[in-house]
Amino acid sequence: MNTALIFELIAKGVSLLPVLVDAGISIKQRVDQISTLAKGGADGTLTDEVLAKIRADFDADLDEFNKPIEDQA
Amino acid sequence: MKKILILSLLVMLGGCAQLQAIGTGISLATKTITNPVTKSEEAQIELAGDIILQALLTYKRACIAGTVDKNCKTNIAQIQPYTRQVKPLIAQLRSFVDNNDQINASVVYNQLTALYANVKSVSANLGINIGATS
Repeated sequence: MNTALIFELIAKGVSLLPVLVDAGISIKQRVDQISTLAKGGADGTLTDEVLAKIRADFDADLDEFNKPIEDQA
Repeated sequence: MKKILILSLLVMLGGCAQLQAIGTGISLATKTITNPVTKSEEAQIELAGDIILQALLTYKRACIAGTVDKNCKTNIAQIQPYTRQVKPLIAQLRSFVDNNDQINASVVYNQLTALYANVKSVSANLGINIGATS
């Protein structure tokens, strides 16, 4: 894994936490992602289970953003 | 009322500063066949994309709550054509990485990084600064 990029992603992910907390949004998913990223970086490995979780989180966020806002208001 | 005002201010002012800081400096390298896309790198591009999405979702949720600018619905509608292009590309990237089809994986990876840059640029033009993630 690209260690420098992992640290950058962790830093960016952590920097997002205060904004999410201030906006009253759950940060559990974000913390899980950061933990996963840190663990993968430390181990130098990425299991299929971890990748599946990353894919699922991404899909959920993408689907939520792509929904027409009128359907959510 | 005070909470709404604080939240609104955070999203509009502090939020902008935070969101600007979020993306700055993450750079996803252009891929070539001799520089293959591994599962780890697929995870990295998905996590980088999710950071952008989290920033955009924060704006969208605040828009639904009525705590950001009045143009927010229009702004989001202008970004969505780009984010909607991400889904099929990500599906293709996952398939190519799973099947170790490096030629097509590299092509799609580079399309995704370009699309991220477009999302960032369009968002910035609309006053939603999500930094320099690309």
